[in-house]
Amino acid sequence: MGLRDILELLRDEVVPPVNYFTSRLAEVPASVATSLLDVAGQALSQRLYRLADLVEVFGDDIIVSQDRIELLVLLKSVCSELEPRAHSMGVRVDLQEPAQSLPPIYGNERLIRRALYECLDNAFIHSRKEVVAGQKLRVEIRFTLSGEHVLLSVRNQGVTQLAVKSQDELLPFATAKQGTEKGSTTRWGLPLVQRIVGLHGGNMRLNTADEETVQVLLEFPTGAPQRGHVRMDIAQAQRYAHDLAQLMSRRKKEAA
Amino acid sequence: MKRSALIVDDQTDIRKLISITMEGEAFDLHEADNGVDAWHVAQSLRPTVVLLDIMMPGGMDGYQVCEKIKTDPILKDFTKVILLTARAQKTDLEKGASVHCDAYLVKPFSPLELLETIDRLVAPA
Repeated sequence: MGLRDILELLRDEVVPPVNYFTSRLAEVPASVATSLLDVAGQALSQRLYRLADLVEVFGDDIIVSQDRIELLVLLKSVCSELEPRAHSMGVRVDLQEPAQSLPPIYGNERLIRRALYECLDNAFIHSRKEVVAGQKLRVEIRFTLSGEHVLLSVRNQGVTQLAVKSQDELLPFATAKQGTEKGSTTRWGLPLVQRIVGLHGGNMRLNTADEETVQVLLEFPTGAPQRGHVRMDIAQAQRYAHDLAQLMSRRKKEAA
Repeated sequence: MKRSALIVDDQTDIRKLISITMEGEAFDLHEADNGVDAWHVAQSLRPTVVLLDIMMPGGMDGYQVCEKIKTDPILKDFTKVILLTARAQKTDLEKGASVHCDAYLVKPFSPLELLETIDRLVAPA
């Protein structure tokens, strides 16, 4: 059994019962207990999906497909999905739409969606902590088109506690620092984001200039990957070769 | 007035192959290897037909170039756009229709199919 089979089992066999459990909770009269179970069930389901994606993107046989992805549309969808969570955490999401239409990016839509989800979720988490009275928590999302790259900036403002001192801390599965909470909070989401963006030919950067602002910058190359010198697809060459005789015949008829 | 064709593909071999196919078809042939250049050439050249790959690197893909052409007041009725792609899912075809392409050829396409499509869309010289 290969890694891919295990991942499929995780997604297809382990997550559905958890989802079934949370869906059945809706049929039970609401109480504090059911509410807590619901939150716990959803969190477990999310973590299982996230674990599957994390293992997949660090595996050897990762396949980056060529879906056409409109980043703004995808981001809006992720924002909608996370809106209840943002609301419950008292975080306001401020998405500033780009002035010009953005070129599409090409890649694996499911993984890019995961990267955006983790990036926003990370911003929410680090806006949430150490809240002081009256402190406004806001996550700003901006797009910049720069040459053949689109730059997505996710900035959480408000008191934050994310402090990444080196890129080593973005490695997944790293041992959490004993006695600190910070080590564990960077272990899941951002390493996944960094890996997914990297697999798509992009970069992730993290700026923690002060204690109230954390900015995650995702840079994606626009359009399809460069392939100008890649040899023509064999199927296309064979198709041409097959029809060449008929093409010559057409030429002769036209010349006659 | 001689007809002109703009061949747009980031793969050099595909552009060459299409050029060879269209030799003798009474077209002035022009090439571009990305969407942004294709749009600039289309504006200045006003080609009779554009053979346009969809997946290209850079700031505009084939759908976006097609949309630009088909919303341009000068080009929209004059220039025929044939999208060339390896993507043949329903959503891809719908996307092609939404940007008002005139034809959609799925790779690997036959040279004869290509010429027949051009013949169907473009009046003889």
